[in-house]
Amino acid sequence: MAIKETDLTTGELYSEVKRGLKEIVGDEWVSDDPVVLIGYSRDQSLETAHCPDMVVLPESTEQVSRVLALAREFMVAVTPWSTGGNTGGGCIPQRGGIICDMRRMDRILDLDEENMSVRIQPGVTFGMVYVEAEKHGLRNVCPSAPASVSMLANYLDKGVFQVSNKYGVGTDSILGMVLVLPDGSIIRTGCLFDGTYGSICVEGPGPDISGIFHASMGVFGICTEMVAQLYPLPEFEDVIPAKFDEEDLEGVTEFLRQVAREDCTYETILFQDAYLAMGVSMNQDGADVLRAQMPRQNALVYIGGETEEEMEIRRAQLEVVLERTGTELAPEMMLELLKELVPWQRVFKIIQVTPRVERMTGCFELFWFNIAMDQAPEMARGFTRLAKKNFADTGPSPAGRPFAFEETTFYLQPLEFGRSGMLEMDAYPNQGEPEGIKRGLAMARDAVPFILERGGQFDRPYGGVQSGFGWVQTPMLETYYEVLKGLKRTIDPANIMNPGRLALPAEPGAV
Amino acid sequence: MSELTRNQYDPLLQVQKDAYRCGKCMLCKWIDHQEITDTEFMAICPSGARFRYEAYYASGRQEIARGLLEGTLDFNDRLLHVLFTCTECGGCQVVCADAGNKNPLKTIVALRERAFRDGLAPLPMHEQLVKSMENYENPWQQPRARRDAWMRRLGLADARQPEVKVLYYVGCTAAYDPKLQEVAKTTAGILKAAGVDFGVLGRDEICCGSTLLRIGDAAAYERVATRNMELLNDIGVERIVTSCSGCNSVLKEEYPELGGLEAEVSHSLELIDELIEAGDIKLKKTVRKKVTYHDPCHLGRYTGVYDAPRRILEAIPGVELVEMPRNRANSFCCGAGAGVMSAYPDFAGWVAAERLREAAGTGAEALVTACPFCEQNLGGVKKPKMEVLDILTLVSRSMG
Repeated sequence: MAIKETDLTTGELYSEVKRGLKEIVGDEWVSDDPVVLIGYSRDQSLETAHCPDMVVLPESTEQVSRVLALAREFMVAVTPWSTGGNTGGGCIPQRGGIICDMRRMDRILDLDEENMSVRIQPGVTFGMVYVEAEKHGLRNVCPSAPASVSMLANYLDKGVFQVSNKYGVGTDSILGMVLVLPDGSIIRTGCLFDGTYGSICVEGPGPDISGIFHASMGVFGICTEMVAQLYPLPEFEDVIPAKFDEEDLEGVTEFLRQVAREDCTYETILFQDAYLAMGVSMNQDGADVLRAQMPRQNALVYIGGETEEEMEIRRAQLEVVLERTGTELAPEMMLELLKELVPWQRVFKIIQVTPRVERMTGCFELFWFNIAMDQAPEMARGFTRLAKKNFADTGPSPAGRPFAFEETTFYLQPLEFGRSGMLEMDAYPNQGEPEGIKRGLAMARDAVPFILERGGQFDRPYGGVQSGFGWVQTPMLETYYEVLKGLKRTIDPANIMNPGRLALPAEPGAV
Repeated sequence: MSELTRNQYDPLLQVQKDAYRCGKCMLCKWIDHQEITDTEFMAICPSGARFRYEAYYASGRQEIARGLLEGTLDFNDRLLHVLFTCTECGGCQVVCADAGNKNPLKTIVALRERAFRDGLAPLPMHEQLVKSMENYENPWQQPRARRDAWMRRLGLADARQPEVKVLYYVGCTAAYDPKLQEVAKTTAGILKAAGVDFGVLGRDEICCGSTLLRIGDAAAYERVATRNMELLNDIGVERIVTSCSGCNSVLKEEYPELGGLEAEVSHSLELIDELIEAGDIKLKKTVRKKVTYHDPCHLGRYTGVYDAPRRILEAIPGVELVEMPRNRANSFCCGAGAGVMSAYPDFAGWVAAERLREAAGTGAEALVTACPFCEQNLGGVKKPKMEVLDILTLVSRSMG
């Protein structure tokens, strides 16, 4: 196929692309009006806003296929957009072009109670699946992101959940996908491989190539359908808080590691006071009151079972770890508070922590990466020093801000029996002021090399040209990076899909 | 604010921080996820649900405010459409104020004020409404002399009589719309039967200014509201009750910014709820009807009145109340508010049909509400067809 050397800035071809898109989806669902486009210019990150040239809202895989074929013909960049809540600039169309807004594909296509799986489209939120799964005694695993986030996109991006200790990260729950490749062809993976998704969720043919689409930020195509695992909703559950001294990061890390290795919990997480208080309080005043009464470091252990007996066995296992590590339970008020969070619906409430954290100054700058558990304390202390350097003299806090700008929070989850951990380190720049954004980006420039030099691994290589979180590590991976580029050349020779991501070249045709 | 100052002042500056700090959590599109019972009825934003582009949701409108502030965006027809298809129902506000401590509704109001400041509003479809307010002190282009047509031969007291303690502030829609005058008559009949010392202003009543405020004409609103406030404060009653949820919320929540009313303000059903509780209203007759209740945005989300209507319905013998999936603070707008019904009747009708589809799904025979404006829009839906009633109609039937 001849590739036309152009982009959307050329008037005549611009009209041709627009006309073509309208033929595919209908007049109503294509727009190049700047008023419409500006809505797609920003996400949860500190990245500079950038508008697309056009937006298209397809309603089927077939329409997505035709949209991508058209974009490839005209060499126009395409950025997929599901619910728009990316924390790393992933859905900001940095090269302009077309935003492919998937929100009209928002149906739960099937929920298979017997095989505990759900087939969803990109516009389906975590909340929607939760509501429907609960009716069948099942649950999806949910992240600390808002319930309004696309479950398909989050799973594909290796989301980490409140039950990742037991069930793994997002990609571990994927059973099958339908993906549209940049030339418009359709590929089916896993249990959807032969297009006859039924009652048996097989893994699909090997070797499994679906991994290249994981955490790929849409550079290889657009996922239009996914089958994901559901899990039993426990009949009995409890949340147990353990407390640690202000500086005892080593103690809390070791406790988490040992609990994870015991394999007796759904989850075990370090939450620092400010983060936890914001997460469980409906408003900031409540968060301030709660925080004042909380220990600084809180390890929450979430246990449960199909029967009360099963839960008590887990509790007994946990008590052994508590005794072995000399760990104390948190004060009575914490126990009372957390009792309110069960049953699971209340735990679900914690999960929407992101928007509550954002209520401080608009965004929180989160650096999350995998790490050996014993490295977490040093990382956390170093990050705190960097935050002090970058934010200490920011100036008076705006009214309602619960703590100083230079303060940080951490969130540590052991994964895979404690072999590794997911450490999230958060800073809170002021997104409402240009100076705040400048400082936030300076913080990123300090923090990213600091993390990489100490062996931190960004398994979700988010970030744009400015904050550049994880993508800076990709070229460092040498052969891995060359293979990645080769795959990109093969699958997307015109480089239309979300160009410039993963440190891949940004210009059309330049992979 | 003087006209000169107003012309120089950019109303968007008041909301600048929110525009920049919108965290894109996207919760403003749906009801609180923890309260979803039916995923088919989880949308909270009428304009977003219909037009789907990001710009039609609160999160997108924050970006529009940012674009206007930075000078990267100009007003055009699409922007006016985006702005004026918002019903200002406050659904996004409820979710965002909880989750994100932002005020998207303020941004929308500021955007409309900016449109007025720049001479791009009122919309042609709103011009008549604004002129009508100037000429007749009501939005319906009706002469003052007809304002009291509904109450002829009812023998109602003049609220300016010294012994009158309660003013029944009828509102423009219930006073002028022939189909909705029944609301005013029923209210007056119930109050009379309950022995309340109330009066009305008849043809001297003027509009509360709600419509002007909601379409963004801040200057005209201030003129009308100030005049109305002076008029109402001069009467010297202890309490003002309204039939219209819009009047209720403006009198109660907005007038204080201009000085406020001396009298207590409440919706008529709040007073009637008290009268039932006190035994001054006896609900004796059985009214066999399965109903669902539509929370008007200005009564529910704006002033927090959720329990009183439900208590009243439960007190009526024979009435069975079933809730819609979206109720109370999660209520889905009827589609009429903030000038939408006059500017975009097709869209207003679409929203109303969506609401009635939800109501029909409950198995109710009738949708009951407490706002003439909601009743007007919901009652106009052809499909699905459903009986739409004011709550006081049921009270009246039960009183016999």
